[in-house]
Amino acid sequence: MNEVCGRIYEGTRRVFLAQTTRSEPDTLVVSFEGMIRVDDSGKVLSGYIKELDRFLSEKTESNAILDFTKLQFCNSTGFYTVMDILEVVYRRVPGRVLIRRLVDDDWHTETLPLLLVALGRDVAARTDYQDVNEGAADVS
Amino acid sequence: MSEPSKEDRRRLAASLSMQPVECMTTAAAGLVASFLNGLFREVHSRRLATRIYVGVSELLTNVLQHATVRDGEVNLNLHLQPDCLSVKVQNRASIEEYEKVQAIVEALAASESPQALFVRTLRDRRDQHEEGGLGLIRLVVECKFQLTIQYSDDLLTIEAKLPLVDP
Repeated sequence: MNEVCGRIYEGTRRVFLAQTTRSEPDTLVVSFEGMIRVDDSGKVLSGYIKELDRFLSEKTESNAILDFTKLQFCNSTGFYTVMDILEVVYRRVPGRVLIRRLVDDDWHTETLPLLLVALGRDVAARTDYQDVNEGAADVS
Repeated sequence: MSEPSKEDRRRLAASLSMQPVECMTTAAAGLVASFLNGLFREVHSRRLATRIYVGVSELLTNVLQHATVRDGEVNLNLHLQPDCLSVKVQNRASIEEYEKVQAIVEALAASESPQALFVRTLRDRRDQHEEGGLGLIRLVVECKFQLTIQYSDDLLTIEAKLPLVDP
């Protein structure tokens, strides 16, 4: 299995996708797309979080890229869910973690770093940020 | 009929009343926030429109999650002036509900670092396997809103105000 995904639907419409894949060289990529605005995102994504932990227990990449540039909104209840995902990645991946975030979005620049602070000092110490303008081409 | 100028469209205000509280969902709060975000995104920056989205979404969600009077209505007012954005939510509430909100607003006002308060609250609630409790703090820490509350005749009003330098 090369991919693990978590999804949130409102009715039949998918509003959120978390996609986890393995990339060369030796890098885990987790991308977040859409909106978390339901009040039970933790419950909805609990299966994905467990599967992510199992996926990473089989083979752990040295480094990770967490791409938030397509995450348009996260409600405050969703902060706990995002932290649960981050905790799995930081626990399983021993090396550097690159966070790609939108430079012109308050959640990305103000709140996301605080979620990492809440996870502990060692997390912030091995995190790098890549600031991206909305709609800009991917910068590798 | 001529279209209003961009300057005139910037003075748009919006009000919405919904009831009963018990029939609303947080997804509905998000849809209301999306609508207002789209309305103001036409003539304002992405950052300001997103702050409107966050303000509306979190204030409405706060009512949905904590309102003790579930058969009443919730009123939303959004007012954008050249130097200030105001998002105001009002609902029928018990004195206990008012006191809980007052405690959060006072803790924020007294805190030397709202960011540290946010991190502490987040850690404490995670440790206790609880969720919620971050919406109002988020408005201050993330979007730089100033929060005020009023309680009169069983009506609780929470206003999030944002001084604007360059809307």
